[in-house]
Amino acid sequence: MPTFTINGQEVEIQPGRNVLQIAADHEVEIPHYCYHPGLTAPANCRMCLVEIEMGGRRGMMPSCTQMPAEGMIVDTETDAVKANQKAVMEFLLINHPLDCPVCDQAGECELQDYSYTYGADHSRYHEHKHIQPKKDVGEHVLLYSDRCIRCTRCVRFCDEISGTSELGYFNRGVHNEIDIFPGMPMDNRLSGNTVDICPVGALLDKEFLFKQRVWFLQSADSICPGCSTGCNIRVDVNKERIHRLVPRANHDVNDYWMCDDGRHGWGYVHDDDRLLFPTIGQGDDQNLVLWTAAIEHVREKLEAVKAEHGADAIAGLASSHLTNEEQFLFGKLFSDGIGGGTIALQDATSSEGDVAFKSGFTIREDKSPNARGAQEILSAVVGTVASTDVVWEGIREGRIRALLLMGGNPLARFSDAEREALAQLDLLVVNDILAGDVSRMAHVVLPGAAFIEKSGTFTNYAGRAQRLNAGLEPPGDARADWEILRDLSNAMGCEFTMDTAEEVMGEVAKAVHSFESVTHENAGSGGMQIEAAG
Amino acid sequence: MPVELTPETRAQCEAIISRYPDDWKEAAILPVLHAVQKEWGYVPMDGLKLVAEMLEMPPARAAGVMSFYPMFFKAPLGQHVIQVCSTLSCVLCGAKDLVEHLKEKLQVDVEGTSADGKWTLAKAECIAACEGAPAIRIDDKLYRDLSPDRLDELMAELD
Repeated sequence: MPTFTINGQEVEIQPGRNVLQIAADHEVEIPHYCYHPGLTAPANCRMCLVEIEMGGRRGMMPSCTQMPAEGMIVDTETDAVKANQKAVMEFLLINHPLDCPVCDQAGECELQDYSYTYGADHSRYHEHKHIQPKKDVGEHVLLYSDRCIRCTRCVRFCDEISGTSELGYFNRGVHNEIDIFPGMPMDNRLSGNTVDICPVGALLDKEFLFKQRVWFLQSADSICPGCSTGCNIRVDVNKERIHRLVPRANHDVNDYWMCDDGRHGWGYVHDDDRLLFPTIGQGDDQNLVLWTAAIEHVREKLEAVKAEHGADAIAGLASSHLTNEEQFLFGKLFSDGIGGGTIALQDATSSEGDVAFKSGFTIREDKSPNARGAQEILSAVVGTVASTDVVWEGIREGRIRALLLMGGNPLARFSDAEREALAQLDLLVVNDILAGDVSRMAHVVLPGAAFIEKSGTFTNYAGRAQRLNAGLEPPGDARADWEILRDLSNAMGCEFTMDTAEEVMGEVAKAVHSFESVTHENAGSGGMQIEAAG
Repeated sequence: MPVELTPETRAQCEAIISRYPDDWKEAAILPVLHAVQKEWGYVPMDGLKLVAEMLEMPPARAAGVMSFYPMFFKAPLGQHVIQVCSTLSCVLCGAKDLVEHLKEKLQVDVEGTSADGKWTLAKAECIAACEGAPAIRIDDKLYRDLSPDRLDELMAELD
């Protein structure tokens, strides 16, 4: 492999990787603003200039567009490089408002960080600062142009990734500003990404604006539950609340992006209607009970139905919002605990179909995160996953007398006909996170956990098992659904001893062929492709 | 607000565009903007949308390009446009006096149009006539070595 030199260190040339990227691979940080690995590089910010010697000539070159060549000498810490970095910082700060105390970006701002590392400790500028306006540029996004450093990442994002090109680069010189065409705001479902990639506090998320100082936030790596793409995300929380979701880079799934539906779709987690305590009894007769009492009550009722009508009178409706671990335990509850019955999987397909963008990023029609995992695991454990029609028909015809409705879907609504059928049941057990018509009809309510309140794995549409990690405790007495299902299975005669979702995955791996090599450790932070079933 | 180009201007735009590659029509933006501005005297936002449509480019990008160049106007102008060069040589030789004189005479600010609609005052970056500083442009013509008096004479001739 041909080599070149960075700061005296001989390094290999990687095909397709530029000097800046290879330097980063070898822990040499080259500061940059306009360059973003998910976009084309215009080399307009001049922050990443390094000294390059090749063929007897030496000069300053932008490392973000420079491809290395055999024998090239790259120096990133010479006096000339440092002087340039300092000069660029000084120019960028001339008109920057320095309103860091009220800026959302403070604490995660590349202008702050680079100013600290590469800039001067004082300003030589005594003239008036040119002040640009604050603008509303889209449903979710504000542009405080006075903080903008014109790196054009946002413009390129709209040109190259969303393919919607709403942003332009207006005027020139000191009047240069990012803007929309008058009356044509940013109208794409990926717009929130422009806020993420803005290296300064110019582009702001309206929902996050002034909500938190970022240094108070704690993070958990998770998976967006909004559709079957399974974007890798980081959930930022503080004081028992989610404050924002941001994408984590994963080239096999979502690159650097996520959609606005997912980004802003977590409101239900903190809804006033969250189910907080297990209850027994319907309507106004609902009584709060301890978990042990609730589980025991379900056991008694299930045994009674089974004794009178047989195991086939019991059915389960699984939600594909349940993790792989939970699908497994739900299957086991039927196959080993109840010893029969019917399981069907609720459908979460939206009528809009897949929505694909210029870069290939796709918002999928299946608005649940784990339909593929659910189908695969349930069918491995119970044999056949029935269609939901079979369950509804069974209830209407009186063959099915008890129904376990497991794992809610924040977007799902049951039809009048379906609610009528549910009213016919001898036993309706609802495990959900939000109160609604159906939880009020339930004989037993088992409050579950939202995606950020539990650990486990989802399998995305392409068969990639990806980990979610708990970042918050479930509210009230609510519990992770896999714990509820473990206890319910044990009440029905199983002997599960696992204390973590990871241990449940150990059992899944033994029982489901395609999950043979899946462990939480193997899935890591970026997930792992599971083998095709069969 | 004009919303459609005359057939002549449209034909002219199409002739310009035909000289550029089919998959890179936006390269024709400057001559097309000139053609459109010639028809209306300025390029209104709706006109700019038409331009973007003809050039198969996003309107925001077309607006960005147009805003870069001071010779394109986005609002109606007076019958004549006076652009005073405001680059180094002209400023050293008295361009500021010309601007003050015109402000006073026409009772307008820079980029304003006189009440009678006859004159628009604007500044221009270097108009490449340093040897004749201070220089100005009135409409499409260049005038050199100006003083306030000479400017008054010129304007009287054009009026």
